[in-house]
Amino acid sequence: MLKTGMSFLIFLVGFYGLIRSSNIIKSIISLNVVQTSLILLFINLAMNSGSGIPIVGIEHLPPVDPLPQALMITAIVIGASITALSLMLTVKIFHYYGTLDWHEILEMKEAIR
Amino acid sequence: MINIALSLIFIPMVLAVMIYLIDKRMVNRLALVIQPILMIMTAYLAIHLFNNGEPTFVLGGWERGVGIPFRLDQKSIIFMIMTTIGISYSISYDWTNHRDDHKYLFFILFLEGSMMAVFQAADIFTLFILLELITILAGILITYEKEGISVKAGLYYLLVNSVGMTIYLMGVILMYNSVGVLDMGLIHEAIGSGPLDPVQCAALGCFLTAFAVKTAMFPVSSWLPLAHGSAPTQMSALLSGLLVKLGIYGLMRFMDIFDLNGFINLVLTLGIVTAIFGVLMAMLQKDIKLILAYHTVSQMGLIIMGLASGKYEGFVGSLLHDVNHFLFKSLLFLGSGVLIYLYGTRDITQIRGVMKNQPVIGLSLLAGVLGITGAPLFDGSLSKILIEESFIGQAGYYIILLVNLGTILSFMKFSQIFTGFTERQVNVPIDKWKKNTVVTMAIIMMLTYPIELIFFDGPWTEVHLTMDALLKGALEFAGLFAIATVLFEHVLMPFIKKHPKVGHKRQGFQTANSMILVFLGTMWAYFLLIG
Repeated sequence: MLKTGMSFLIFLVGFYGLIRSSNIIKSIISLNVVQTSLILLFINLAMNSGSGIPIVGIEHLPPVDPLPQALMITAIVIGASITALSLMLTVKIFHYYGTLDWHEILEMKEAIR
Repeated sequence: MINIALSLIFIPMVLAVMIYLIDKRMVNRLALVIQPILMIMTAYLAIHLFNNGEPTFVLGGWERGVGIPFRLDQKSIIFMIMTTIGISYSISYDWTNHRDDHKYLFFILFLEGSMMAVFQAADIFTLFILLELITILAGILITYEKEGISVKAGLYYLLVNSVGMTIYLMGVILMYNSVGVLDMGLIHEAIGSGPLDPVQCAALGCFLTAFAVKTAMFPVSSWLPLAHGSAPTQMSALLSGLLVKLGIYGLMRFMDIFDLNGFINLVLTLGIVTAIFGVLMAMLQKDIKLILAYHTVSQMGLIIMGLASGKYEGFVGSLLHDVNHFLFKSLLFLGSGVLIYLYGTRDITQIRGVMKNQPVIGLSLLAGVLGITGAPLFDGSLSKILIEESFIGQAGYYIILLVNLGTILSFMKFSQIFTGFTERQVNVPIDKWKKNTVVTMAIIMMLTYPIELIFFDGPWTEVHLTMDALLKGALEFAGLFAIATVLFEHVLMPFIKKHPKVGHKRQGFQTANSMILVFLGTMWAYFLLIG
């Protein structure tokens, strides 16, 4: 229960940032926080305190399920690439509009092609 | 067989890397040459599938439940053929500019490879990875020209869709904890036919929310008009034709996993609301690309309604409407891209006299308009009739008629571009690649009607469309057209003149995110309290 509750709390913090903050950088950070909370949740749920690492021949305890860790490392990679791309686009937006505020950027009308 | 299915994924990807590394015009040409070959391979796969059944195979020879499973079925083949057509036109449309542009070709071919993979994946986590990969590639391609508005739209698209996919990841986690497998078939076996437990309900809510964001269902659709309106033309066409269908495809796959009866009313309501919202917004727009973008929303609503009808006719109708919508919407987007280039504006009140200036483009666009409004003898009518038939005797039937009426109304406004006179300078020469692509799409669209008519009595589907139904559809179209003519003169045009600002507000990023959260909350509340 505690494990799930912790992740849920972090999830809510991240989503609060996504809903409330109008700064692009803060939005990207909030998205990362949300993803982190889910990664924490999955790793936590798969872990038991009585089990060992999932490598053959090192420990004699029953191994923990290795699949969640393998999946989450993929999710981390995807999260990192999304962050990198959105930060690159943020730099472009700042050069173009001179601001990082979602409201101002979305309300600007530009010459349409 | 399996080798062909896998090479459909890896040929475009390997070619993409080759083109990126070598960067010679001779090699770049391969990107266009490879497309018919891929189409033939997909067709061969379809024939093989029809003779030998629909296979599920696991990469690397592992057991089911250990390795990464792939599954080929009727849906995947249809979507894969659509992918090859879509990628072909998005390369050929701007070939004059892109034949030396190895970066663009790299991204578009990689996109093709990942689309081919996503339509075969039979594993909820592989689906997640591929959907995220497609989101990233589409984000890069939307922002490819690096103008202010497209960068803005690309970032908005990327972040909103990533939030949606994050919620999908939450669903995967909940599902894995409840069932212990990721393979779709094994999940189906593990769940059984009984009622879902609360964790599975929560996971289902997450999946539905994620696909709603991908498909742009009503409260979470704000990314679609922004992205479609500001991407390069061929990307708008690809987004509208193919990428929004990913959500529909996911929905179809998850309807195989979960028992449909539990949430049919919910999906039906979502479809109805989406269809009506899209058509209302489309009537109010002046920007030529935004009209088409909002029509994508409303047509997605129709497709979702067909899926949720609970009948086989409805399912086949929505599968066919995927194809038809892909064809006519791509045609309309590509054609209006030519018009935007020709007239130098996107305001529909400024574009006039297309038939006189560019008869070929005008006729192709007219075919697209007739297709989307469901005129008899054009492909849109068949799938619309099928979806309508599955709702006979229910309120949904009248809602579809209403949506059709709205579509006809707003395309009457669109059709004003064909006649009339404008002061604008329109003597710009059109690139021959652009013109040929538009005409080819129009021809493919016209050929679809007889092919689909044969398909109905063919071996792949047991649905039969009688002559009576076709006649009834034609009569309905005539009636709706008559009503629309009156409404257009006396209601729509005065309303637009009186309230020119209605329907033009852009939804903020924070609002979009809170909508996603509200949507998720509604799903959970529905499943835990009612379902």
